Amino acid sequence: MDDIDKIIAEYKQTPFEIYDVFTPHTGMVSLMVKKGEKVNSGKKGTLIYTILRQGNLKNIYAPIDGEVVEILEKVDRQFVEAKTKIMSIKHTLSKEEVVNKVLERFLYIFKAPETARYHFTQELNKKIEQKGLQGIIINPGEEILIMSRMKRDIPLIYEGEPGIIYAVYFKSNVTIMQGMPLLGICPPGQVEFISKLVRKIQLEWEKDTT
Amino acid sequence: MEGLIRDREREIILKNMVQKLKKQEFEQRCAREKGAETVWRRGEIMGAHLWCYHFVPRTMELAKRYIENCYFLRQTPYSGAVFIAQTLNQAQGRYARKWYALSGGLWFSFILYPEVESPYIHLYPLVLGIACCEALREIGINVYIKWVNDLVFNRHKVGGILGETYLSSQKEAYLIFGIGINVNNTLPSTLDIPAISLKEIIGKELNIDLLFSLILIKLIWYIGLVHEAEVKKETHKIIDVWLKYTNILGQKMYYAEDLKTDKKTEVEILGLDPYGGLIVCFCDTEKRETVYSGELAYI
Repeated sequence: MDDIDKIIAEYKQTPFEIYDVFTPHTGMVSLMVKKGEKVNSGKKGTLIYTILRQGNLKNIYAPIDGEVVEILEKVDRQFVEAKTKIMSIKHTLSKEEVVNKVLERFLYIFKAPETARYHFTQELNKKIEQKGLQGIIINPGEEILIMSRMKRDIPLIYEGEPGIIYAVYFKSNVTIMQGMPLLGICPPGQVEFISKLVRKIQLEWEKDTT
Repeated sequence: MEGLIRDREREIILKNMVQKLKKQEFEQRCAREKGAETVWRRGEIMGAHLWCYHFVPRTMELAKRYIENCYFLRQTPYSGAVFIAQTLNQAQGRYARKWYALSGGLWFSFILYPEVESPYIHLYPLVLGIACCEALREIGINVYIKWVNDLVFNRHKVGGILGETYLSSQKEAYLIFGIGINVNNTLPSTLDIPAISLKEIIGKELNIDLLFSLILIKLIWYIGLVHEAEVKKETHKIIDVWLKYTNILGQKMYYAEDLKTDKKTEVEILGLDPYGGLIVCFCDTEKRETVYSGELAYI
């Protein structure tokens, strides 16, 4: 079994992740789902619980698609503290998610230093238009992105190892939360290995929905 | 600077005007507030060095040239240095949109050495709006602030403020802010958004130099307040004042990252977070979120 097969086998063994749901603040919780129930995230996601504090009722929707595998039934209609874990959702990884996890593992991930909007610098944009993303090597000390927050533009300097921009995780008209990935940088010699791995995952991975 | 004509007469007038108003404002603040002297001292660098020009492309570019010139001359760029011009012919607003900066308006930029760290540094755009709004209200023009720092009168834009962090050739970061207020200038009829000048609001011309001086002394105070916020780890003094001067709280408005190119979403404005982020509720999903970028339009 070569390295690529080993990596894919690893993910096939645990093709899911468990997402724990915590209360954002104190309040009286009312559970809206039961153990074993399937939930959806997205625009009109599944209402999983409500929390009432000082007369303000907040609806909390499923943050991720999946199945409720654990739920703390004793908190139903009870007052809870902030950051109380009240349920866990098992989310089966899709092909795209496995690819993203693999990329996170092998690439240097340049993360958002602040919650803001991001776009490439004009100079880098021009280079990308001329040579394509993987035709450019970026080096530490280079200005690569502009962070836009509160009507102020701030240039960001790349501080990782020299490499190629393998993945772009942001759109310039979408706010990116602090700590979320912006770019995945690949050492020049690893591009082929990673491309091969990604291609194999895309061919072999099937989402188990049963 | 090379190739640009300085208005030295105006520099002297402004410096004298500012000096007089500074003394008054300082005394009033000290009489009203405990610890005002410390706040004032922190912001007093504002306008200590001031250059006026007749006609330049952009005052923000002027500020960058100044910084590079200082390095060339082995001098330190002055934090708080201000650059004013009568007319700009390459002025830009957000997203490089054209900004009409004709003669009669108040157009200036200033630099700040970023002594304040994140997240307090994000208060600067807010306080610039507050300073301008307060100065205008003091001369009887009841403007409001639309997030982040647009100055509006009856939903018409009176002025705008932009900021950027400039990384110099010596890899030092400077904050550069540009402020543009429509005072006595004529506005083109082809503007994308409704705008108005102060002259149109009150029916007569205003003294631009007096207005600039008033704004500058307010900037001294509010920039000092940003420093105080960092030291005391509390921002409510700034946030409370901003909320007092805005007319968007509780309103439904259109929101998008870029209103010209992106799909507009209807949001309800709920408030500000401690660092100036706008708390909104998206009307279609009823989801509450804090946003730190994007723009708003009145419905």
